[in-house]
Amino acid sequence: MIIFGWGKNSKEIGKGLIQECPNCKNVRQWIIVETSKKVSLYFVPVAKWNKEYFCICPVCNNGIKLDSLDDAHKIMEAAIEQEAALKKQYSENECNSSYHQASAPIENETVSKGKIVIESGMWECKDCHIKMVEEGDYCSKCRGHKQNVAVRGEKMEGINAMDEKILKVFKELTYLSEDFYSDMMKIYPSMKKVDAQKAKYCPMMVFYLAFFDVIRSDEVPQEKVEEISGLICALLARLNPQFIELIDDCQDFVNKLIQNYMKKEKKEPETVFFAYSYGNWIFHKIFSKIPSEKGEDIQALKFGDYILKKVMTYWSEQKKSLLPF
Amino acid sequence: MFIKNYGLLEVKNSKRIKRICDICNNECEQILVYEPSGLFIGLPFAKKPWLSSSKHYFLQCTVCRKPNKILTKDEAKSLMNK
Repeated sequence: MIIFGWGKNSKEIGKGLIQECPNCKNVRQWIIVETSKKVSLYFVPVAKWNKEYFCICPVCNNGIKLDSLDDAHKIMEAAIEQEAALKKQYSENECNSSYHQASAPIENETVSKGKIVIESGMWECKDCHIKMVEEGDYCSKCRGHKQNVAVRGEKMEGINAMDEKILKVFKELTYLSEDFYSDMMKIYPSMKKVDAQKAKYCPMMVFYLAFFDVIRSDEVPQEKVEEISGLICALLARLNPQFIELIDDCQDFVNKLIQNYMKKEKKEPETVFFAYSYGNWIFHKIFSKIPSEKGEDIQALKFGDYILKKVMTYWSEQKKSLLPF
Repeated sequence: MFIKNYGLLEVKNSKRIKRICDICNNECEQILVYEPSGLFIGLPFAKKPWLSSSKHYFLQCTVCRKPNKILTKDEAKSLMNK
């Protein structure tokens, strides 16, 4: 009796860059896998051929086919550099969080709504009155005053300071989107090999990154998130009259966002999540309706970058008086 | 008679269920799939076996293409009768 087997074999050979998957929209560190075909005899592999390399999302296994092992090595090197840069950024943020400790060792002076400096190097939580030495924005016990803690390295001075902070975030996002745009343009030819249809999600990815950074940033209060979503929707409607036609399915939601932005109503906590997910959904709706033909993918990519720049410019020039409604 | 790993095969013309994927967290209409297991009768190189000793049913996410919820035979049958 002869027992033989055949099939595909895949093994992970390294880590890729941290990026958002255009298919499942999860931001994860991609992995590089080597696939091959194999034949085994009595469960012992005897032959392996047709080796191929892919950089894939670990969640949905959707990814890019790499031309050779050298490309895989290049991505792995880039991943190591990215990891080092993130570690450096993280350590810098840690240093910034001790800004007040280093530069303002003033006794009995309130530097934020959440924490009070009681002596040099010592903090007291305003909510639970626990004295602590460790650095960071949150009390190690209650962790319940995210919104009240001062912005890293700056004093919180009401809504104007927050507007400036949001403007700063937008400015950073614009640069981020430019980098992202150039990176996407570099990998666009290899993306096209996998699935040209996916390329139309690129502008959505830009926006997703924008929303992701704004919403995940502890420096921007959560109630501002829906306001920002409303602002972006309103701006889109102003910049492109066809926008409203494109998003007829989510018209009610956009109206709600704009109304909330106008009325400054007290927001429920869930609406922040909805603003986040519907923000993505809106852009998905828009760009899934735009036909993806030759050359239009790149135009759509540019459009995402263009809108983000416009949002930043309008915000800085006109602030809240920009609404056309 | 042989043993083989067929993977997941779609049940055609079955009802789709809208739910959030446990793996990728995307909300989509999930499809009914089955995995034939045990001993098979048929051609080893064909896509499907003619007969299999057992079948396991799942709901598969259309975004990440991964099986989500394990279904019982009765649940699967109710989805098949569209």
